[in-house]
Amino acid sequence: MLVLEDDLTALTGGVWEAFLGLTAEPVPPDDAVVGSCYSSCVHISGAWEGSVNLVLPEPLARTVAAAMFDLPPSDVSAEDLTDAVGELANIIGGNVKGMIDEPCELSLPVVAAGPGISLSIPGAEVLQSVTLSSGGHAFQVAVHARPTPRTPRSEP
Amino acid sequence: MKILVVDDSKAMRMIVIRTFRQLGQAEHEFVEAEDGADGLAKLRSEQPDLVISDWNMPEMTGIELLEAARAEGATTTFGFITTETSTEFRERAIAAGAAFMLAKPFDAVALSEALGAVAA
Repeated sequence: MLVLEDDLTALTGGVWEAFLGLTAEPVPPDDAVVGSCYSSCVHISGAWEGSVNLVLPEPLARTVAAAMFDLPPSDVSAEDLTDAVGELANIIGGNVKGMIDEPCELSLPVVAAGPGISLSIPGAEVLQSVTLSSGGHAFQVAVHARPTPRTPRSEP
Repeated sequence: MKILVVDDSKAMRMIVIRTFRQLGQAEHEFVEAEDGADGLAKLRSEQPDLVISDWNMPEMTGIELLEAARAEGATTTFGFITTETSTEFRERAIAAGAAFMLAKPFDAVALSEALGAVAA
């Protein structure tokens, strides 16, 4: 499966605008997510195997949760943050899955929070990664591909 | 109208209910369920007029909820709001008796059109 950088950027920006009423603009990948952050991940399995991972700095996670729950950011609970960030990964992952023209299943989201989280998926390669900025906070969306019998991993 | 909103994300349940309000339909009574099993229990106890459900949920998925409801003879109008909108999933939903299937992210216009098609 080919996931273009522009597709992933447009997809994420569309989710940000439609669901959160926020903008998300692409920025250079050097603007990495730093400090305390939230990372959510969904897995796609079937004819194509991979994962979609979203990493947000804590202030942006709080902003998006506040938008989803229609609450002041200061009133957002840790449970709300986990729920909102997980659902965003679910929506973005579901739309990535929609690009696959073969039968696949989407997992429930998994969310982790803490300083400097770096997600690694054994056996998978980063197929596409984009860095965007919303409200002055950079965040990342990455699509990881795992080799399947029908899509062997490329040799180094 | 009593509407049962089934989604494992509390945020999504709130967004669905808020979208009804954006459509000027705040008069409905909303009941929430956090997964398919909870949805089936509330379908039995609350007797809603409309069910709006996610697909992927723990305990019982949305399609399992719909199939269980129909197996029990429930004819409640049932719609999905989900990321699972491939042809394969759509055909399974329609075959099981779903009235509509909206893709996440959705907006008030899309929900209005789906509800309008049901009412027509």
